[in-house]
Amino acid sequence: MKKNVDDYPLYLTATVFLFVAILSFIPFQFDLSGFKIKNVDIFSDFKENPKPEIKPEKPIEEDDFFKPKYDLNPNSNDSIDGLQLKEKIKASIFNLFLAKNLSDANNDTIFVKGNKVVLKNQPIVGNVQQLKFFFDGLNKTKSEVVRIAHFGDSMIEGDLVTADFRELLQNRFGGNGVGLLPITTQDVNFRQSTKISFSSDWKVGTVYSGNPNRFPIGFNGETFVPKAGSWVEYSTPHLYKYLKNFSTVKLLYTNAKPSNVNFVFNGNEKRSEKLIPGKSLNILTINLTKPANSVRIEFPLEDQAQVFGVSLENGNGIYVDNFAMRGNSGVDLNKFDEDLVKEFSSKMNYKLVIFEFGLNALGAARGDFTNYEKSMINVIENLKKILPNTSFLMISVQDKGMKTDPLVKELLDAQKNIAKATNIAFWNFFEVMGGENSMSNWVDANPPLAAKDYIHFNERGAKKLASLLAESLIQAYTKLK
Amino acid sequence: MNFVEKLIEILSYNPQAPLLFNSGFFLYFFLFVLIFNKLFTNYKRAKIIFLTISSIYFYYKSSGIFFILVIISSLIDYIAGIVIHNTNLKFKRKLFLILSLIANLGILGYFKYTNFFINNVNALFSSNIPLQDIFLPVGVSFFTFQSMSYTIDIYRNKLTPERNFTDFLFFVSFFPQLVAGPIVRAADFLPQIHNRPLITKADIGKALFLIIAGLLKKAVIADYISINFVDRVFDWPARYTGVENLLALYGYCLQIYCDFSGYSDMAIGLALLLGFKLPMNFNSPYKAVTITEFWRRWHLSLSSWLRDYLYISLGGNRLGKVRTYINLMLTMLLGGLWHGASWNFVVWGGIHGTALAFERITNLPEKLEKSKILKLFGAIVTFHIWAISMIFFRAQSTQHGIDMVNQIFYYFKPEVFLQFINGYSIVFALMVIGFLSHFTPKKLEDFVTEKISNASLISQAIIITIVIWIVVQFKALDVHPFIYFQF
Repeated sequence: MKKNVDDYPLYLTATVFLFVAILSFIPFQFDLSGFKIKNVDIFSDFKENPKPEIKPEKPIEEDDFFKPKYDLNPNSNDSIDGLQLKEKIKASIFNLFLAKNLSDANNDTIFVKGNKVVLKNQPIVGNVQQLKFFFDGLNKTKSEVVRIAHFGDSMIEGDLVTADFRELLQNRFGGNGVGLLPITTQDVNFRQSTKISFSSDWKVGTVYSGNPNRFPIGFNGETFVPKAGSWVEYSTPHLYKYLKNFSTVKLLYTNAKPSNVNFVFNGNEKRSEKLIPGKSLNILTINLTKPANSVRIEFPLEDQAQVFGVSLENGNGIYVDNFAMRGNSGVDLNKFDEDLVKEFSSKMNYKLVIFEFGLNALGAARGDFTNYEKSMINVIENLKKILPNTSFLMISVQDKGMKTDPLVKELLDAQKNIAKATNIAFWNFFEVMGGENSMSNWVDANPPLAAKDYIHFNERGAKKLASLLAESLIQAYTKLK
Repeated sequence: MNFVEKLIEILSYNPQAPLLFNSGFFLYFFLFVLIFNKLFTNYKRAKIIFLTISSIYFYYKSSGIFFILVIISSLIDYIAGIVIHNTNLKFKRKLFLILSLIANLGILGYFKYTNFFINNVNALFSSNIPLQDIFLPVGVSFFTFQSMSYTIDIYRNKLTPERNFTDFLFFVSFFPQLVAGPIVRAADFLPQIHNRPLITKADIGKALFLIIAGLLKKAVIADYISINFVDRVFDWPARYTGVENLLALYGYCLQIYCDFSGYSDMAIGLALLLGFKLPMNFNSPYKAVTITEFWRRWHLSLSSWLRDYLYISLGGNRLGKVRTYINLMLTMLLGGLWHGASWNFVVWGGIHGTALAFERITNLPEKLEKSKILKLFGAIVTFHIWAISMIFFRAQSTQHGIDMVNQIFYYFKPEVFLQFINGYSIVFALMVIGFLSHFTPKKLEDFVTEKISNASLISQAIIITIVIWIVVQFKALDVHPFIYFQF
């Protein structure tokens, strides 16, 4: 008969426990060519959580510059902690059979693992007076086209954030259409607001990924030049209320050969239109008698023109142009042709510039954001000079990582410094999200709002960001207009 | 915070950190269980009560207040079992069987399928019923199935009911298998409660091998590649090239196997250390040459459950050819739905049902037996059928799945592969190790098991400590930053 060793597991487990305990007392931490070897600490649960180091409050926090300049909405008084505790108790007792309504999840609420987390939207701070150009513009959207240039990194690729933000503003201020679109783009596979297809032979120069042919680059940061027969086609989706069709097409270009380009609307209505030569920004505007759902534009000649993009519109109102620059931190927004940018602004009526950058500065800066601050201040000062009648708004970096990457907080401070130095408006989205360690809530939310890389928002998260931004901006407008 | 408060905090349920076998707290828990298990060696009743309470506590640490569900479900099935057995009235037997099924499927249905149901109603009738924020307690799908099989077996006169409620509750709640299986049959488990456990040196070796392999599979390979690569691609396939999508798909096939089988292995190993033998749940599934064989290697305790309680209940193959295929399909469709509340899982089940039916009609498994090359070919095809089905299994929406296929076929960008190896070197290494170890011969496994069995207690403890140390290193690694490859 086999020997019964049923006591053995106890002795073995106790020995393992002992070994692990001993290991916990030996500080065994070192850096092995990039891999940080961590100490095994079986007693860590019992130790007091190390109190977060209380840094001497930076003067910038006290700064009046970042204090709200107008009253906050009175109904956002609920203390987050209080609510969370209450909800926690509710969740653990009543949730056994009585579930909460997910439709409670309005703008300010997310559900995380059975808890309701209330987001606290922040007012726009900083130089809100500088937003007056934009607010004046908003007052005139009945009679003219007013534009916002929304610059950002991969966070807004595929018209993310912008699409929802645009819809909310158009809902309130009028306007109907997607605005300025690129010719070729890497995000066609997840761009929901317009279907874009294009021939693969376009030559491209951008501020963010190189301009080997030294094309003059306009405000949108990208210039496209056709080969003989290059084409691009746009068609509208059904998802967005204000993007279902368009009655105005604007082709933005410069340095054209005196020649014709061919347009095909709705797949069969052909038109041929003349390009005007010249070094300035030219806009070929086609007003349709009946709104169309698609347009194909063909360029019969090689190097026929340097094309910036195509704007799809429907009358007066507000238009938000999505200028997504993958992998960029914003510092390259001085590589365009300044005269062109001036023309963009005067001919297209840009009243607000939004910067939504940051995460790409993290890798490059390696913890020292002084250079980033300097470059960004130069970029913004320069733009303010070129566009003296345009408002500027900086959106802060969002939280990143399962636990907040400490560099994110330093970057946040750097961005505050930039906003203050350039004297523009600032919206602290890091705080709005929930502050420190809030990205993990957005990832774990039901339904999820961010991707598992703990960096990028998904469509739902982008929508939430957009609606919080619109809420804050409209709030500022109603208080300060 | 004083020590007592801290202790209470550690011992209470924390939704952010549910208890898993690879949690640090589990080592304390298991040592505690073993100490009392030893103290109660000669007091059988006390021991069972203690193990039951520990198991319920384990569940509390995973799902909080919902441990009540385990007790309610057990109580209903315990009573139903006795009533069904004690009566000869057909009507009463059926009534109590149905009551038990309603209770179990009701629990499962409410917690897992309410929103799925609401979504479908909304889609069908264009209504606007709000979705509910329902917490899905862990293991519901497992323990409800486990206790359902008990009442069905009694109804079929294959089993006599357990008279002692604690013993029955112990069977349902036994912590190693409670949250993720294997789904244990009462006939296999209940007799083990009544005998003094026999644990041999060879059992120890086997248990340790399973626990070590399980830990490495679950806490190193699966956890690391999912958070650092696979999840983000599945979250947003259109952002990544075809190469990355394909690797993420292969990665997911490895991840789900390592995650699930790793956890099962640990469960079997831990149970063995307590003197209980649980059924094997995985047998190198990717070695399967056909889908038919695959299902004899993948999640065995579920596939045999579905066969015995769903397929056979539907009539199995006794009602003619057409009904056999219908039953096969239904079993796989419902089996798909068991995995998750979405039509994607039904499609997933449909793919497997179709493959099984095809193989049955063509008698493929026998034909492939003849040649080694055919078998290799079969294994590759089988793996890819599985992989394709896993797109539906894992994708958040049908659109995500379509995006993934589109990227793989129309945006492949093979040149990104080398950049991938460079950028995601740990992920890639773990994937290679994971797949290679899957195909190691059984002989090597037995050899290692024997070596572990014969090692001294100290050497065994050192090996486990090293494995724990490795697990901690991987847990502590920062999330690998997001990379956009240039192409």
